Amino acid sequence: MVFISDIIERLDPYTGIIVLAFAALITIFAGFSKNNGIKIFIILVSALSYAAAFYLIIYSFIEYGPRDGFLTSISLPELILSCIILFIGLNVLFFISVSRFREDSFIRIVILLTFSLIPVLSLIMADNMIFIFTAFALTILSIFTLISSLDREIAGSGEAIGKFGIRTILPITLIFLGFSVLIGAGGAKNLSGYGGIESAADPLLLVSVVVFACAFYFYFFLYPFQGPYLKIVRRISGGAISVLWFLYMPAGIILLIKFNRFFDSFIEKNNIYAFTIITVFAFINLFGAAVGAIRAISLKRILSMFLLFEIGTMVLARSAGSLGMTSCRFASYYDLTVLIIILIVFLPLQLLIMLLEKNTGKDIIAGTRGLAYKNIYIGICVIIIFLWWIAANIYVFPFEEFISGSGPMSHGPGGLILFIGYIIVLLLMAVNIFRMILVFFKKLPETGGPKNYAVPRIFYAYISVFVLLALSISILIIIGKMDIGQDHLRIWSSSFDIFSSGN
Amino acid sequence: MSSELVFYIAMVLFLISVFGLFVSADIVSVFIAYQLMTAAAIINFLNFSVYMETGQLWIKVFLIIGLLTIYLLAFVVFFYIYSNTETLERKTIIKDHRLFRLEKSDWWGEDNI
Repeated sequence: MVFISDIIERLDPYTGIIVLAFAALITIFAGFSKNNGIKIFIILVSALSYAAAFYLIIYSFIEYGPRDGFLTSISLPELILSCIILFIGLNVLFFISVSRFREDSFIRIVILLTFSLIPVLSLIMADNMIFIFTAFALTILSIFTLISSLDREIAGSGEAIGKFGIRTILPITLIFLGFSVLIGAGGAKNLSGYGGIESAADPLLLVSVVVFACAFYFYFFLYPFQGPYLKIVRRISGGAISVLWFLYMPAGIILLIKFNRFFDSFIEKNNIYAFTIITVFAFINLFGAAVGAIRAISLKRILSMFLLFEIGTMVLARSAGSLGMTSCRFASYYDLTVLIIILIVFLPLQLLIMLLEKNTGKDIIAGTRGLAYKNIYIGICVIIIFLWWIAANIYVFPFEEFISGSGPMSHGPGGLILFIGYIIVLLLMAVNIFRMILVFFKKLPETGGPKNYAVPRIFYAYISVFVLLALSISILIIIGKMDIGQDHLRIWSSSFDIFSSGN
Repeated sequence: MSSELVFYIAMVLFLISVFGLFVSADIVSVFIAYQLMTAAAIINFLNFSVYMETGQLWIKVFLIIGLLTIYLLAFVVFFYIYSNTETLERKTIIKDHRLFRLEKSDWWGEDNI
């Protein structure tokens, strides 16, 4: 045990990355095998390596606590993000195993997935700007390679993936340019060196903030630049969508959390101009996603718009921050919460549409017609997840700031615009969800309608885990708010305080 | 030449590249626009490194590693596009890479596959 602890101490904080690299090295030797037994062995090795990395990251944090170095910085948010990414890795591995097990290239795809997790984990712990940029660029590179490998044999996806790839170069180049300007603003090697309010007066910092903000906006394909994202989602398979939604988008959120510290100093300094610009773009995105989904009939397209809506709420949270309604730390907390919401809501829904598409051969909302009668359990679970999603968005957004003090006008007309606008977009999103639930309860046509809603038994367990997770979070929040029960049960009601203290 | 003037030149290059990205539909033009943006970043890095008392080596390392990763990504995407398009389709696909085209289907309804 002493020997193992000594090795972990020497490798810290790269233990998780080294375990994944070792697993990738082992699996490379079976890269061209088509044997089913070897494929199962590769799945086991990969899953165990993710679990081992998960354990080692938590063990290191408990043993050595938060720590800063020249290249890395590790505290509670980094620990949570690392665990989330490894959890995502396990889920994507499951999705790929469900959909691509019989293909000859299966093992190579699993190797690429493990390789993709390594730069994401590096990005989480990176603090030095060289390390941040390199890890982020390699993350994009590996994700693009993974998506293009997953849909290599699907006709019609090549053009959409190519256009997606060209668009992914833009945020990387913009971030490179932003760093080049940022260095002129102070010369610090870490982002934390630019967090002071005094430095927000520097015009070079202003230029770099604008460039970074544009990079993030393009990265997330927010409205009005959503075209390539909406096109690629309809043209790629379920496995590739899981990479796009659960690796590409979270990687952007992780980078955004890193930049928050110095974004927020700028937003708080220049409130009125920043508020106007951010609010306009936030509502373009929220209204665009909520209204666009009403008319869409493809399930993939509807869910991709829902995801854009969820990311749009992060932009709106910045808008609230520019009014002084929320603190600097709240933005990071909000981003992390949005990431968790995305996982709890979209992981099971994505697998469900993947299975339904496989059964019915269609990716249309009418394909779920009669789901509530034909497969009652899944229907109820999906309805619970949808309702939880709306409730989570209402709970997480700082609504209490609007109604505290002197009421909705306590933050001026800007606060009122935010309040009313967000209520309207939430209502539009509720209409979308009601429309989907209504289709579940529509009776099946006599002939020609989809008949097969059977899903593998493991999916019942999978969706149950997420529903129980969602329900237990809700119950713990209610217990915390009512101030009943033991102290450890109240954790969810004061999660922001815990996050802030550990940051 | 003063530092400010060099910075303005870099920013002009950046604006030209943004114009190119919004206007051009040809894949080669899009990549040239990316090169201009990268060139603006290189000018900035070198410009600021001259006036820094410490950290000049760090900036040069950043420049080299950053350029390597950007060109690697650009090469991978370019290779993917060329290796996955049939010769007959290539001309039409390569001429249709406008980054920011606003289509009705992106906002309302479905796109035709």
